[in-house]
Amino acid sequence: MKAKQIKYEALVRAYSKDLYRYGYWLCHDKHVAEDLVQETFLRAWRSIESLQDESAAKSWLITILRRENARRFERKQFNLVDIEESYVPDHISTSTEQEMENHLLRRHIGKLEMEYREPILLQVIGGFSGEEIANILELNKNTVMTRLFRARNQLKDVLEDKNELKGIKNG
Amino acid sequence: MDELTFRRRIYADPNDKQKDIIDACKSDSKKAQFKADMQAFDHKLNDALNIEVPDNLADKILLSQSIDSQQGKNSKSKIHLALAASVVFAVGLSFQIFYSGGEYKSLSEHALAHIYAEESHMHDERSYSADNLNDKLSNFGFTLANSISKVTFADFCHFDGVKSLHLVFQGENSPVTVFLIPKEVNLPGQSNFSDQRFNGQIVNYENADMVIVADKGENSTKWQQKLASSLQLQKT
Repeated sequence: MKAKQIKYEALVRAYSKDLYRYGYWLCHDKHVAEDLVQETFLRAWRSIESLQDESAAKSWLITILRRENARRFERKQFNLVDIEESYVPDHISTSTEQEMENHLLRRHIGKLEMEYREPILLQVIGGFSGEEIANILELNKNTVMTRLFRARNQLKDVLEDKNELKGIKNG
Repeated sequence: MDELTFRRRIYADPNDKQKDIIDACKSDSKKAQFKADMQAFDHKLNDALNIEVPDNLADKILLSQSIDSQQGKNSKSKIHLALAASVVFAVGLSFQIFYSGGEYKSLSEHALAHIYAEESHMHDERSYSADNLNDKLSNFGFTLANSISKVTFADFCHFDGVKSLHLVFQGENSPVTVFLIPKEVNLPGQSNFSDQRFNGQIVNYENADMVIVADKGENSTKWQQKLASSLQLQKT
């Protein structure tokens, strides 16, 4: 019992932040993301015996969270929020170049199709390899690599467009 | 490695550490630069994704886990309690079925069964003083006006769970049993009954029924008359 509790606490401390970020970028809602993480860890607690290989803990948790997120959609039909309208308050006027890029990137990450968004979240937030992502998403590795390429390509374009716009303005 | 493949690979994973990528970067500074640019872009991406996490998230999670496991324990003990309760209920129910209503449908049946069951214990003859007998009888509102015969047994027993009085008188040839049963028992009974060995009568009084059971060799009518004259209702 004690060992189980220690193991669990270690998991929470190690992975709750990454799970929260992953959840947030899936659903774009701080409260829902927190609920998702809470629910994920409760389920993890109840079935912690099934986690044999501790090195697989993170992908195990991500899998639980993805399932929880899917269940959320089964439970009720969500009003799909238009990200452009609801998304983060705009402080561009007072922000630095870096903050502006951040803002643009965030906005476009939210707009990425889920099939591109998830692989790149798993890679950048989760630090998973192409193969691990393929396992989590139940895709083959080539598909995952193609999606990663496209996701990054789209996001990179966002910043380049911005620079071009600025170039035109300045020129 | 051709330019397109290289770019695709780096776009898919800017931190690709496979040998062909590393070799390509070594031999071509433009490729190395491209990789470095993409890594810088990934830093920006990482920053953008790195949103603020609510304070004490881990503690909140641990709190709800401890509440959850507490509830788990509680519900386990509730289950145990429910199990225990249903076992008690089942035992009680079967007890009821075995020992009451189900088995005896009438006073006479009950009385006969009682006599057969206790026959083997009735050999010892005891003696009871008049006071002792009257003390017991008074519980049922009776008093023994005059002695009719030696009482060889007098004690309380239970009819259908109700405290009753079991008396055995010495008959001419064999013992005569008399039960005084409070009305609460509420079992129907014909006034005369018999089986292959005994004859019986039920006499209804205001607050109790008297069941007289005697061997067929005894004159039970005579006994009934004797008892009627000597067992009298207490004057209040």
